[in-house]
Amino acid sequence: MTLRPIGWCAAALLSVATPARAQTAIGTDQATPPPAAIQTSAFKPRRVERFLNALEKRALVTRLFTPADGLGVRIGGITDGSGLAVGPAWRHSYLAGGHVQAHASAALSIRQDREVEAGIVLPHLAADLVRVSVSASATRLAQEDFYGLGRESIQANWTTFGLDRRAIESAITVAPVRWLEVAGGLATLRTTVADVVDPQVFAPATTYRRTHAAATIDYRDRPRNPRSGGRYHVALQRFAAADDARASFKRLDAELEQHLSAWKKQRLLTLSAVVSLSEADAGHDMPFYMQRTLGGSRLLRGFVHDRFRDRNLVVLQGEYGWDVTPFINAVLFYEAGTVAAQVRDLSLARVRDDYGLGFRLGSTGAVAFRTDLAFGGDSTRFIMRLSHAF
Amino acid sequence: MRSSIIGRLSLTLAAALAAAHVVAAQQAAAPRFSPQDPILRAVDRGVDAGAISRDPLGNYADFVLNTFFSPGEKADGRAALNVNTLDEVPDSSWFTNRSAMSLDEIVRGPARSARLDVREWVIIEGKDSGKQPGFRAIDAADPSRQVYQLEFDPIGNPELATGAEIIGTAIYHALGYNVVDVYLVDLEKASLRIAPDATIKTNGRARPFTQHDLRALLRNVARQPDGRYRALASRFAEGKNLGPFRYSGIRPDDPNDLVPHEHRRELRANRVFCAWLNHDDSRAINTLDMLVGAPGHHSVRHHMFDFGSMLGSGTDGSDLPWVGHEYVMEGQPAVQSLLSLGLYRRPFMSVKAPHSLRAAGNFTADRFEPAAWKPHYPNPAFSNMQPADAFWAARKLAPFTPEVIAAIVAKARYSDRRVSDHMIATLQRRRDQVLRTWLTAINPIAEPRIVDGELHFTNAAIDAGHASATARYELSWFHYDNSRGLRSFGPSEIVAMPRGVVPEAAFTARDYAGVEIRTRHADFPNWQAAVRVYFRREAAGWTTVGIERTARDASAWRLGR
Repeated sequence: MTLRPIGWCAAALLSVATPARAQTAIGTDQATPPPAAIQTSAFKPRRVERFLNALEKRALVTRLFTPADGLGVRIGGITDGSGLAVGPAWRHSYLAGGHVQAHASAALSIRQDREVEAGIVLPHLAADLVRVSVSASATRLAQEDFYGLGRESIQANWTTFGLDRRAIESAITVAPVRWLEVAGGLATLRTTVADVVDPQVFAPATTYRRTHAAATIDYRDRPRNPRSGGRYHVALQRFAAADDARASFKRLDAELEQHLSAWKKQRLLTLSAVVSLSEADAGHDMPFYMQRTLGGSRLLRGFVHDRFRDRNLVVLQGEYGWDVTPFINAVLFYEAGTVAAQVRDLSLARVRDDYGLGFRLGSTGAVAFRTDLAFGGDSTRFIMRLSHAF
Repeated sequence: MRSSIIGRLSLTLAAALAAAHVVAAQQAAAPRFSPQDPILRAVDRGVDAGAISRDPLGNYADFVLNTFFSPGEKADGRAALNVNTLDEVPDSSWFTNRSAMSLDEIVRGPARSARLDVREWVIIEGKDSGKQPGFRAIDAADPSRQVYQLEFDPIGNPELATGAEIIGTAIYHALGYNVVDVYLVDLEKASLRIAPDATIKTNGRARPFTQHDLRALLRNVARQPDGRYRALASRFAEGKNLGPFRYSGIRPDDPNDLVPHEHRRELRANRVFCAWLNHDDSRAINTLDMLVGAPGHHSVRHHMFDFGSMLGSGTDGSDLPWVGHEYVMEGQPAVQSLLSLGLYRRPFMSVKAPHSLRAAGNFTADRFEPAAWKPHYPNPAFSNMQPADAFWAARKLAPFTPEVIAAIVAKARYSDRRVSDHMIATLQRRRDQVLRTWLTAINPIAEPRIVDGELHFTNAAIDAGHASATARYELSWFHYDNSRGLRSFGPSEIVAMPRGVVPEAAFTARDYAGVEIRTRHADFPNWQAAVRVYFRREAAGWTTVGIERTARDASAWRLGR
């Protein structure tokens, strides 16, 4: 950056530094009319500065992750594997004097998945201890991947299927203290699948009534970029088929996440375990599209999205991270997991695993962008996401 | 672009002229000293500045411009441009010499009253900048509707940010900077009322401020054992907000802003004060220009503000561990960390800080090196700091004795005595380290004067206890031709005490005389660089009119960007 000539200024500044101008520079603090020779100019920030000022003033970066009230744009995936999705969004966070929040959005992804959703939230009940939400959504996943069931499924057997899901959901969440949250809810889910190639899989179209209860202990220091603390979540869900599809089941999900750090929290070790156990009612079975899966951007990153699926699942993850700069965190990770039709077959001796490295970009408060390069799976995979891995 | 009275001098030329004027005066035709020297008050309110507009500079731009570009002109060894002939900073709209303050005045700082008693606060606006939770409010009983910004401590660190603000404001005021009035207040939730038209900005858009916003705010801030909330009330400064001032360049629309900010001594030397206080947040965003004065007589008053992220405070918690040790973006340690897979242990990772004192954050004197201290990101004025700037700052800092520091810390009203003790001890240790570094960096001759025919001066480093009193002084007297800038050397002597007899006989019929002082000290060979002192004969005797400090090896001065 170079400085421009400042003729009069130069003369005047010498009034302090040199005796030649001193006589005219002292003796009065009274404002006097500007000499005709003095001309000033308005601020003319450089282009980069104008851009950055506008970015900040309009909170555009923040609004990428937390949309502003009013009409806006929804950016993000509809589900993991949908690819980038974009669409209109609307929200209002202070209806009825702030007692009610409402939102609605629609999105279309590059894989032709689409979703329309709307909902209202009452976030401030019982002096902010209780939160109630009701929402409705219609989702069309055009090309869900399917490789078969179980950990021995082969990638070459890849096919796709379509999934339509319509849901009306309600939930109540109670947070008696900062680190504890207890939730429960009811939902109606209507699901339809299409284009299923494998005749062996159980793929009924059905309507579920779902009830769920969950508890979460979360004492991470910074939930969106934690350096210490842990999060322990357990949820029990019952999916009751409302018709004669004989597809009722219940599922127990547990997620344990612990963060350990050293050297002023500049070195981080994260240990995570995810377990999902399902049990179908007597004489019933669990539809394949309701099974949890491994592969993708979170669980077994060395494998493609939905690479393994079955009724039960377990994944163990370890990630070592170190700060390169306050904005960039590098990581090495290893993870192993498996799926099985029966709980007793969830043997850690027969897991699929992968390892890799990655970078987390953001601030101390949140990871805004991450990249992972994962090896050891079916192929080397490069992942980019606008969120943390955990 | 401003027209020129003396021609369109480039700044470079102007700076060179100003910085080198003492030396150049030997060849110059103009007298070096005018009858008005030394100037004690710079006139920077001479032209109406009413047409000035707000500087739109934001956080992002300030960070990017200072991190990836190099705004401002490099000092390259040149002295500050706004010093007078005594090498001091005259009073101005930027700075006021306040060395004569009493202890009570220092502790009171800029506050207009000893305390702020408000029975009911009316919230008029949410706070939409900075990390510290708070809002803007007025006293319901105040007909003038004076606006205050109320800010609270992070929930995990009671008294941390508010304590830092109180201490920082008092110290910066005593140092000579313009700061805003701040008060500690204890308030109950019942004393807060939301104005019907109060708004808050979320994601850049304004909406009504609701009870839920207030509840959410109070839920996430520290609360005292008695249920009340401790807050810092900052009185909005007088005048029209013009945004921040920058640490480089000048305000193009301020006709009185004459000295490029990176060449202002009080801004360059602020690096010393910031190092002492670990004020890493010392950047343009935390400064404030206010348009003051009556129509037709407007001028700009320059303030420092927002001291919530200093000492051990990071505003929303303890300060980040690398603060003061590294810029937020540092190439070499980043590469070392990356390639070593994190096994390279950066120096700041070994710093010992008081984890158990939450109100103190991580304020520590462990591994504190004043010359190596860094703000959050590069500051062009700090990067230009020269030894004489640092020496000036160190002398400003010397009066902060343990008694003064203790009195200022007491103003923060820490509820835990251990926190007060830690803050006092750490401020003292860091102050001593600063003084040891900068008072000894150049020949520390100070306060030269002639009294009853005898030269008296002090050695600032010895007086502060940071060098042994074993110095000897080589005095070389000269008479000075002010009109031609010529020195003619006469008698010289070596003395063991900081005084000497003026050889009046050699100066008969002379208006100007001087002495060149070189200090011989076994521990500080750099003190042999000459300090030249100029005196003018007046009716009452010889008056000190000029001090010129030379560096023994200016090229060795490398403070880094």
